[in-house]
Amino acid sequence: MSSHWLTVAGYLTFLALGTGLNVWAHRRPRSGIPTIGQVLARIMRTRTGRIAMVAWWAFIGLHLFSK
Amino acid sequence: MSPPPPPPRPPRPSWTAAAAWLWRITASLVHPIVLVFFLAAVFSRLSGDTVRAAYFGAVGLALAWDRASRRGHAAALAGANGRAGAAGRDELVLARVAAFSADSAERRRAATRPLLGPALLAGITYAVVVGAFPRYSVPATVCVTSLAAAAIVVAWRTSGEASGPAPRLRPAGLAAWALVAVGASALELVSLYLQPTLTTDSYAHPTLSYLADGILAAWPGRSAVIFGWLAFGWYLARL
Repeated sequence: MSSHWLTVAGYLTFLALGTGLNVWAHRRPRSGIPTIGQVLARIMRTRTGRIAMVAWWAFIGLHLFSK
Repeated sequence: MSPPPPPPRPPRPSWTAAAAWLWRITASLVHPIVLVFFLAAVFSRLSGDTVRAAYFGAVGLALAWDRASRRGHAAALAGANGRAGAAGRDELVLARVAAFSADSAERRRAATRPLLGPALLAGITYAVVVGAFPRYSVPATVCVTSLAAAAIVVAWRTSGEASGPAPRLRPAGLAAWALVAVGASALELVSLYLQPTLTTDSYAHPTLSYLADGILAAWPGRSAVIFGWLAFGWYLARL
C-alpha cells in the first residue's frame, strides 16, 4: 500500500471513528459518550466558545475559497 | 460674581489599575480555546501561510482581549453591587448576560424554524452562484469573505455567557472526542510536514486540502461544499 492510500486510510479511519462515536452516543445515551451536538453545544455555551466556533466555521470557507 | 468651579478631573489611571489590566490580559490568554487559536497561528506561520497565521492570531488576541474586558467589567459590577446590595446584583448580572442555556437554545430554534424555507432557498442560490466562480477568484473571495465576516460580527455582537451552569459531560466521553480530533489533526500536520516543502502539495502525503482539490475543481463540487459549509453554519447558529 502506497503512502498516499495509507494517509487516505488514516483520514477515513478518523472519520469512521467520529461517526461511530456519534452513533454510539445516540443509541446509548447512558454510555457517557456525548454526541457531537452535545460537545459543540457545550463549547458554545460561553461567549468565547461561541465566537471561536463561528471563527473556525468562517476559516473553513475562507481557506477553501478565498484568496 | 465668581466664576463657576471647574469640573472635577477624572481620576488618573494608577499603576495598580494598569497592573490589574495586565494581569487580566495575561490570565485571559490562558484559556484552552484562546491557546488553540495561537497554536494554529504558530503552525500556520511555520507552514508559510502568513495570512492564515494573522487571522488565527487576531482571533486569539480578540478573544483574550474580550475576556479581559468582561473580567474588568465583572469586577466593576461586583464593586458596584457591593454598594448597591445583593438584590441589585442579581438584576445587574441578569441584565448583562445573554443567556445561552438549553432553554434559550430552544427559543432560538423556535425563532429560526420559520426561516428554514427562505434560508434553504437563499443557501441553494448562494451555493450555485458562488460555486460558479473559480476558487480564489475575486468574486468568490468577496462573496465568502463578506458572509464569514458578517457571521463573526453577528456572533461578536450577540453572544453572551450562559445564564446557568452547563450540563456536565463525562470526562471520559470528552476524552474520546478529543482523541479523534487530535488524531486527525496530527495526521494532517504529519502529512503537511512530509511534503517536499510546506507550500508544495504532495500526492504521496496528501493533506485534507489537497484531497479536497479534486472535489472543488468543478462547479457541482464547489456548490455542494459551499452548501455544506452554509448548512453547518446554520446548525451552529441553532445550537
